[in-house]
Amino acid sequence: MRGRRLVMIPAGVAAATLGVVLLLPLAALIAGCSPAELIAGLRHPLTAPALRLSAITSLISLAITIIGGTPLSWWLARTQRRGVAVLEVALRVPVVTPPAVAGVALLLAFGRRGVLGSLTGAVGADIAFTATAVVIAQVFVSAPFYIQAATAAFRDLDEDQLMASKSLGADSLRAFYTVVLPAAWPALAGGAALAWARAIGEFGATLLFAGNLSGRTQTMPLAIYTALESDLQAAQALSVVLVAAAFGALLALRAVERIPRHRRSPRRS
Amino acid sequence: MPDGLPYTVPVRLVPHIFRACVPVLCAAIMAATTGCVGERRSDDTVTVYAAASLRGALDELAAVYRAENPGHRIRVETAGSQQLRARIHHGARADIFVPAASRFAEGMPSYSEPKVIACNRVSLATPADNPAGIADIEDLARAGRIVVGVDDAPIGEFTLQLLRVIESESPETADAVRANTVSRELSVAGVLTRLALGEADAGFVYASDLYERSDVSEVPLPQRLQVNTSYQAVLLSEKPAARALFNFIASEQSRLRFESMGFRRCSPTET
Repeated sequence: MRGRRLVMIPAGVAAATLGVVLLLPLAALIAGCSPAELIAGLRHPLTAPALRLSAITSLISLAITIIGGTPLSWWLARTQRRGVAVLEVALRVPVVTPPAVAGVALLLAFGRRGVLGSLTGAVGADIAFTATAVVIAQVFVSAPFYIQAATAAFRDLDEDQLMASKSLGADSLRAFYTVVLPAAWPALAGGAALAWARAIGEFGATLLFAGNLSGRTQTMPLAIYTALESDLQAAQALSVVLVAAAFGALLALRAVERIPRHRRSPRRS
Repeated sequence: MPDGLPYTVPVRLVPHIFRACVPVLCAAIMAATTGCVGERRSDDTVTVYAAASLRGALDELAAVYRAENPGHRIRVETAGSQQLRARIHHGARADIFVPAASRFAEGMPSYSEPKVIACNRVSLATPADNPAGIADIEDLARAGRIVVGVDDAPIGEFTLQLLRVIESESPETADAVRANTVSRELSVAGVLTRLALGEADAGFVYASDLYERSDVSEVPLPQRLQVNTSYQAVLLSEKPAARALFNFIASEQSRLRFESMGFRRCSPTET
């Protein structure tokens, strides 16, 4: 028993230390901002345009992610070809790409002197420094979270059920609605929530690729960074709003994750 | 302890563990930073916080100083002066601070008389190939993408100053500049990057930023639109090594070096 305690104390210390590192900054952020300061910060001229822009662009990004990501994930999960595994890994790379690298890559792809830049410039549609650039940056960093979750969910499907529905004459689309969605939606919703939270927090690639102009490309994280030097209070208030939004998304995610478990085993609840 | 819960930490130990982990955490972080990063807080390392526009020039001056004084460690950190000021206010330890406008060092305790070490002026710049064909200030009306500094950054302040002069001469041009502004950068380095990448058509930077650069070029402005700026250094620590470097940076020899690197010659009233 003494030996066991010798292991437990350092383990407890390590766990508590990690907990402090993770939670203390969040606690300090929220504790250091009284309701009056929060309201004052929310009235800062940078705040309202940034909130609006972040809300709109992150929702558009989410829509693009879901509309494009769902069939893409389905194809990834259902295709047994050799190259697909490599492609799947490649689609995950943005998750671990440093923001500055993502920004440079986006400029090289869609910037004025980039691969597509000469093409889009020819039709008079410059992308960099527009809200479109904000959305592209958000999709680039956030869609992989959704694709990863959706691909895993589609792989876990019950093959027998799928086969059964098809043998009963359901076409693919109908099978998707009647069999796939009911089974996979909690995972899809979870991936979507994570992707949305990541999109709303996007900073580095946006700053490089979309620029920093209040009302046009300055999202909340950019407004926070800009306000940090002149008005810490506004930066803090905006940060509290962002943290609250992310926390809300994760809470919703947890609630969603619990639903099917209760349904499957009603005796437990 | 009941055998059913082999890995539970006794509840009464929890507060002790929390209390214990603060020094452990601090020690771990300090060990990690000093051990791995090799940063030493010894007296012979002098940290200089300098405006973004001083990057190249100060690196060169530091190289000269190191050659003359072997064994001295100098760390030059550059960013927008407002960013550096905020960092110092939040406890960053800088020994010397050289903002791009003297007001950014206001209220900071200087261990020496603040000294103007170099002078500059605001320049209108374009990418080297000048895609929008900007030849004078009126042409800015057809520059689709203008990039400036944020109002809090010195370069943003000076650009506003310049815009006020333009406004008095030609309100349409000033309006066009505001309407065509696509991004506000946190330091002049950001503006310069946009121009060098060809993402912006025009931007306001410092004359010295264009020194020996082939990817950006200057659009000459008439004398009446010239906005002059100067860099005032303050000494923020008592370290002898910091004072020695401060005196070197503020010396006549260094001022000549600044002038040879594209900085404007200071007028006698400025120093």
